[in-house]
Amino acid sequence: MNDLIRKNDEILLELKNVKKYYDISNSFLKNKSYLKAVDDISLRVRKGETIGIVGESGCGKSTLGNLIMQMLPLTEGQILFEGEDMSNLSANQLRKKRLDFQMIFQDPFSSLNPRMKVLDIIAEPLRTYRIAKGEELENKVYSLMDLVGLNKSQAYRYPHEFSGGQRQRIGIARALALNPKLIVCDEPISALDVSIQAQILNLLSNLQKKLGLTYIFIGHGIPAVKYISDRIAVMYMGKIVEIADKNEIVKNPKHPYTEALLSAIPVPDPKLRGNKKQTVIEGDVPNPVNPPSGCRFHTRCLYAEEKCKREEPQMKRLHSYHQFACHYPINHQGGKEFENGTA
Amino acid sequence: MSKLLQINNLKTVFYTEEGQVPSVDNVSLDIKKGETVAIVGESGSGKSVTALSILGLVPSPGRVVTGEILYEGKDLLKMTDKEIKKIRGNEISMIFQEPLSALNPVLTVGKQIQESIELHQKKKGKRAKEKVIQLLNRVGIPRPEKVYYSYPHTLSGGMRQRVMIAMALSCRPKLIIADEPTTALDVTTQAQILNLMKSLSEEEGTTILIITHDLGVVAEMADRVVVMYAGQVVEQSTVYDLFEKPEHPYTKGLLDCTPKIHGESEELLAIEGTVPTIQNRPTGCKFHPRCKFTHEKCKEKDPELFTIKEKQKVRCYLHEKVIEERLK
Repeated sequence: MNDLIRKNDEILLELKNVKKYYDISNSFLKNKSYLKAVDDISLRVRKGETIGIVGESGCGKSTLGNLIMQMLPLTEGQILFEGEDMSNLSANQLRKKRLDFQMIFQDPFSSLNPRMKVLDIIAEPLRTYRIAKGEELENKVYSLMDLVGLNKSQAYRYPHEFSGGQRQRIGIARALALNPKLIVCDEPISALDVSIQAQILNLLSNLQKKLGLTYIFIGHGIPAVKYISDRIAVMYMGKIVEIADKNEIVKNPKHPYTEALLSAIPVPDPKLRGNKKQTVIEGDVPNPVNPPSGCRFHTRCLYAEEKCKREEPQMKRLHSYHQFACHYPINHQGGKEFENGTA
Repeated sequence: MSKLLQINNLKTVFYTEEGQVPSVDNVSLDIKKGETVAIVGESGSGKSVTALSILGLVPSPGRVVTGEILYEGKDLLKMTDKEIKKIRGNEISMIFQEPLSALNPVLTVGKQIQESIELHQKKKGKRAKEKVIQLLNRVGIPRPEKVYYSYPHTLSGGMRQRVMIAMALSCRPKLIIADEPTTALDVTTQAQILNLMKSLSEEEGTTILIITHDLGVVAEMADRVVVMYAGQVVEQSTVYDLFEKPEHPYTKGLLDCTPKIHGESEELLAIEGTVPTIQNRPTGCKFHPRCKFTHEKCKEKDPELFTIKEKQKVRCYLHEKVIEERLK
């Protein structure tokens, strides 16, 4: 586990106090209000690692992915890719930079153009960036198809002729076409059948080993995210509430929300039925326009106290590879103080 | 325990341009009173169509062609529309996967639930409304008097699913069919809904048929499990036997390819290949192109459902020998 904290680790991507607010003010009634989709997130992603991002729907995990992909402008903060601030780049410079980060989408049925052949879909980024043409282009596409486990003979077919899993493979080949360094995977397996999910997860992790890729893996199925990730970040209402090594976070969650998320996962073993400790949280995610004061989770938290309503908890450090934002972390009620720090 | 529902050799086909395609192919299963039975399968396995066939809701161009569905001894398939309407929503009710599309967007939540109460229980006006509020309370909706007047779009996913359950419960049904009731929900909400369904079956003895692709949900809820693949039942057993000693290679594969939350992650053993589409189902055993134990016989002839022990049936030639030996 200690290999996660090496000093000379190369940082590929760094998020500094990233915020994305949507202005939903009503100009007629003259009241200002914002929807804070992503609120003050700091995160460092090392080269070659996979960070899993989990949370309920509406927690801002997909928005975060889109911000990293530079598909949305930031409200505040910085995103540094290889040490370079992306928001300072001109459109032209950004276009060149985009070679290095690509995305895999959730729905393989709507993310592929139904009127393009597989060959053209995978070749499109290569053509746009004028990387290859003619026979060279074709060969490149064939080798990409081979890499993701598709047959060369399928190159002239249309997306509708493929199953969900194969379509996701096409999407992966397209993302790999430009030799990216970072791939943001936005729920890439949630639209797939159970038996196909494992194939795609294995493919992604093999590709990572082969090509030295860095992944941001957004998902809501924690077991699958845990399988592929090195570290897991838990988001709640636009904030990261806990981030740690994947085994650490499962065995020793510190934030009550993480504990609740973990205990809500149905365990595929009927013998554990009933005697499993279940901390079911009641209610739904509060309205993000009007987030609760203090700790945003206090309205649903089983351990909330007076302080939680008043004060917003800062990120605290358990080890350098385990951080959380909670006043009364689990098993540490009233215990020792933690160092402040960010992921 | 007596049988509440018994399905015998059900075959539901869809009439398409390419001819008849069997979505559900010779499925037999039974559900006893008070039991929770799960049907597990991937997309295209025919699990939803089986459920729709029970209530006579198979969408056109589909039709039940053969078989019988006995509900308390009476064949639902032979009933007239009028007779089945008395049962549907009253004695047997259904919870759908996507509560937003299953609820009427232009009617308030209260009105929608009240509808079935007025229809089946002959309660009107104030008495019906009281009953609705009681139901909303039962399914754990806060401030039911207010929610009674809300429209579906103003509620969260979990709330909507609770409304669906309230509606399903409105006439105290004997059987609830839940088609992927938690697939569209977050894990925390899923746990709440599953707990609610469990308490229904424990406190009121409601029989539940749950359809899902999630083995975790099966392990939490079911007493017995029916695994379906490509329109057929491939394995049937108690929930404990299924997870402890799955006998069909497909069931084994499904268990192996599900990521577990605890324990170190070793490589997942994926099932190779793809789920066959309904038009292109292979000959012989439907699972043979993806199976690790395929031999010649599997490609030629469909295995029958062998009973390997009490309450456990498997559709696989690997078990044929075991049975032959036992018969000797």
